[in-house]
Amino acid sequence: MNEEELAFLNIRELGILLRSGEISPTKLTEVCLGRLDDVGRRLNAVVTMTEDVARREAALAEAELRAGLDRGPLHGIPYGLKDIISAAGAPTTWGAFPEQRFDQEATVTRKLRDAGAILLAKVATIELAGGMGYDNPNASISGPPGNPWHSGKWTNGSSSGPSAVVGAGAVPFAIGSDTAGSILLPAAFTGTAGLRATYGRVSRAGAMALCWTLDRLGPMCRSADDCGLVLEAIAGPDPRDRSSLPDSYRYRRPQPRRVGFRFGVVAGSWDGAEPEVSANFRTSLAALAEIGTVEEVDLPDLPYDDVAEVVIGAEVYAAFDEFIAAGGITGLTAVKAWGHRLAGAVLPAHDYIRAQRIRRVIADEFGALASRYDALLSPSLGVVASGREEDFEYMLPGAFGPLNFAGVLSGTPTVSVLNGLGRDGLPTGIQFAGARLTENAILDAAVALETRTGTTALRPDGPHGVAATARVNGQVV
Amino acid sequence: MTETATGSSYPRLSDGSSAAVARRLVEIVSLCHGEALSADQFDAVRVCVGAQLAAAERLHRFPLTNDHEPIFTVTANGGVPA
Repeated sequence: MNEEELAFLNIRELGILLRSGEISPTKLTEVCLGRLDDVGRRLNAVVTMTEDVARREAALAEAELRAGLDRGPLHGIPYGLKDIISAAGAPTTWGAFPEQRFDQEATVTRKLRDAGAILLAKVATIELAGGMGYDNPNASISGPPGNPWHSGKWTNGSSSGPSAVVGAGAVPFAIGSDTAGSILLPAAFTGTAGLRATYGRVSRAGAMALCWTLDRLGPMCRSADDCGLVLEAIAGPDPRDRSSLPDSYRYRRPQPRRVGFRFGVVAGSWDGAEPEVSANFRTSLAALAEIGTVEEVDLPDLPYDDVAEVVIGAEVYAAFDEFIAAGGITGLTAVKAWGHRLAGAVLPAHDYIRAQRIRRVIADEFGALASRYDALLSPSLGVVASGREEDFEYMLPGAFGPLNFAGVLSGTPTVSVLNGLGRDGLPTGIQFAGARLTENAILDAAVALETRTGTTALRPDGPHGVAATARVNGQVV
Repeated sequence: MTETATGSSYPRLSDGSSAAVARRLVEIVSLCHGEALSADQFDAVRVCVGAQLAAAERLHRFPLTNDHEPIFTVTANGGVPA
C-alpha cells in the first residue's frame, strides 16, 4: 500500500492495520505530518503544526498497542483541531489573533487524548468562526482556504481547515464547530462527512463562544461511520459546560441498522439547485428507496431565517461586546465585519427574546415532524464550491434550503455526506436530519447510502486537488 | 392561563416611520462608535440595521401568547445537573 492509499483509509481500516502491526502509529503520523506540511499548507488549511507532541503521542500509542492496551477505535489515529478549540502548548488563534494562547485545554481535546488520538495540527477557521460576517474566503489569518478537489475553489466556512485537511487525505478526521452551518456547509463543498450532533452532546468547554444557544462542536471525517466513532469518543456530560447533556452516547452496537428506514424528503428543497446537485439528490433518493420508505414532507412554515438572524446578531454582539464596541472588528480581514455586527448594538432585548420564543415553537414543531421519520432529507447545499478568491452571496436562490436552519435552531442532529460530483467535478452533499438524540438513526441511514453507492471511494485527483477522474465501482463519475 | 394565538397585534410601523427608526438607530451607532468607523463602514451599518429591523418586523407578525416561553430555561442550580 502506498502513502496515497494509506492517506484515504477510514478509521476502521486504519485500526485494523494498526492492530495487526502492518503500520505503526508513528508511521501513520509521519505520513499525515508530511501531507499536512505539503498539501495542507498549500490549501492554507494549517495554522500550527504540533509535530513534537504528535511524535511523542504516536510513540506512546505504539507502545500501548504493542503491550495490549487498546483505548478504542481512535487509538493511534491522527487528527486536526479547528483553531477555535484550545490545546495545551499551541496557540489558539480563533483565525484572527496569532499570539493568543490558553492555559487550559478544551474538554474535547482531553477526551481525544484519552481515546489515544494524536493531535497533529491546529487547522484553519474563518476569523472568529465567521461570526462577524464575511463575504470572501480570505477572511482568515491563514489566507483563503483551497478546496482539495480543486485548489481554485474554496471550502466554505467556517470549518475551512477541518474540511480541507480531511478532504485532502492529510488526517483521517478533524474537529469542527457549527453555529449556523459551519460543519455542514464545508462538508458539502469538500466531499467530507460532517456531523452536527444534538446540542449539548459535545462539551464546548475550551472552545471560542460565538452564540451560546447555538454553538456545537463535531466531527468531520471521511465517512458517516467515522463520524459515529469520533462522536462516541467526544460526547458526554462535562461539568465545565453547563449546556452539556447528562446522557452518555454509544455508537458502536452489535447490529447497526442498514434497512427499514423511514425517510421524509423536504418538499422543494432542491428547487433552484444546480442541475447536477438535483440529479445526484434524485439518485440518492432512488438508492434510499431500496432500503426504506421515502415520502415528501413539508417543513412547518416558520420564520427560520429571521429567528436565526436576530438570535445570532444579539448573541455574537454580546459574546464579543468589548471587542466590537472598541472597534476591534476594523482590524479583521473581512470588510463586511466592519459594520455588520454593530447592528447588534441597537437590537432591542425584547426582539431577541421574541426570537427565542418563536424558536421554541420551531423546535417543538420541527421536532414533532422529525420524530416521525428516521431522517429528513435535502441537498446539503444547492450549489458546488465557488471560487477561492471570489466574493460570495450565501442567499442565492437554491444555495440554502430551510432544513439547515431548522436543525440549527432546534438543536437536533444532522449529518452531511458526499453523494456525487457536480459541476467541474466538485462534490455535492446530502443531509440527513433527525430528531433530538437520534444520531444513530441518521448515521445508520447515511452509512447505508454510502455503502450502496460507493461514494466514500471518490477521491480528489492528486495533491494539487484537481477533481473529476475519481471512480466509483469502476466507472468514471 | 393558556391563550389562543389568532394573529399578532404588535403595532406595525409605516414605511416612513420604519425608515426614520432605522436612521435614528444608525445615529446611535454613530454616537457610540463613530470614531472607529469610516463612511463606507457606516454604509455597512446602515444596510445591516435595515435588515435587522426588517427581520424583527417579520417576527413581530408571528402570533405569540403570554405563555410562549423562550427556548432557553433558567434553573435554580445554575444549570448544574442535580
